[in-house]
Amino acid sequence: MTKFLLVLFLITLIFTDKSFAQTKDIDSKIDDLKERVASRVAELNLVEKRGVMGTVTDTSGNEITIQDINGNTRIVDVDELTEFSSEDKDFGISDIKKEDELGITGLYNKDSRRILARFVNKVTLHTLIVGVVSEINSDDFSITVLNENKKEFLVDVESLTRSFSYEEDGNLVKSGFSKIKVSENVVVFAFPNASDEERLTASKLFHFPDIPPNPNIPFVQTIVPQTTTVPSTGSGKKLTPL
Amino acid sequence: MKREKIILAFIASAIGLLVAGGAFFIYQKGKEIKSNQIKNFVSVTPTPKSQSLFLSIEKPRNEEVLSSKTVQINGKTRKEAKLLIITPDAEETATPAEDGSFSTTVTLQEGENLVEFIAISPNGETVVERRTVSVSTEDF
Repeated sequence: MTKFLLVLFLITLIFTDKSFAQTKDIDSKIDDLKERVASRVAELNLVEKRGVMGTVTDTSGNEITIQDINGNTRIVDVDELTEFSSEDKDFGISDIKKEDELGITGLYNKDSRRILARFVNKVTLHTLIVGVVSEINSDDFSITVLNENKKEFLVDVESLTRSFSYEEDGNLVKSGFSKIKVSENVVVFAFPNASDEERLTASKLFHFPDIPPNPNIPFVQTIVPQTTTVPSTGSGKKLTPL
Repeated sequence: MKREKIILAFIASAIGLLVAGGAFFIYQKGKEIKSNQIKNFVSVTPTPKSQSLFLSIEKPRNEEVLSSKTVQINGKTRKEAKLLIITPDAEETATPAEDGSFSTTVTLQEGENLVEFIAISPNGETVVERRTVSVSTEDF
């Protein structure tokens, strides 16, 4: 009886040990898997795809600093996987210089706030002007636009400029230089004039004939109205103020 | 004598349990809210109190990279405002609904796109929002 109990005890001990070892092995595997999943999740949460556009303010080594379209400074890293494209055939990190305009798509690291560029494209960004027409010069087909920051822009409206009038019903109707009036609100997409630094050339222009001038623009009505209606008595005799 | 003590203890325990149960029942009943006291709470998106013009674009997010060229635009402004949405290839107008929300679809180019939103109120106030929205089917 004692022998039987001893054998039974030993068998139980062996199986318990084996089972314990197996459990330990499975636990270790689960822990490893958990760690790997957690690491991958953290990695995915930390990095996301992003695209930015802006003007180069500095370059050094494999780092490009740009000022994005909203005026924020962004730091971009490039590596051997980064692809460069431009209208010029050969374009790489060494060709990028200050004032260049770039479109960059890559991986944004939320922790370091840097972008690891995957695609760098050389682009041409326009200047967006939102303001009121303060002057029209029919001789050279140019308008002066005053914005909320009291800044004036001299803009040439050319035959290639796509002009639209925003009608009261919400439709955009094709327009032209002759339809633009002083004190109208305008939205202009412009590019620098290659021959004159002080002038811009409009690529797109939108004017809003049914809306009064922006009250936030310190617009002084010293401009001579384009069409002055002189009151008449009806008999053809013009009335002039005393 | 001992038996009587046990019976008395049992009866006392039973009475104690009954009293405690009754008290608990009354307490729970007091917490019950009648159906006519229940109010419906509706989550309302806050609208700026100021009458000045505002423009918020919910979709697409700035710097978002999308896999499709067709992009849904959702946003909110004052209901009287006029909206202009300009993409590299198109110029769109949108009319806000009664609650000021608006929605439209635009088509973008492959690569980085500059999308500009301009809202203009009937008094001439203007708000501009500029976003970079990229389209890429590349896996990186």
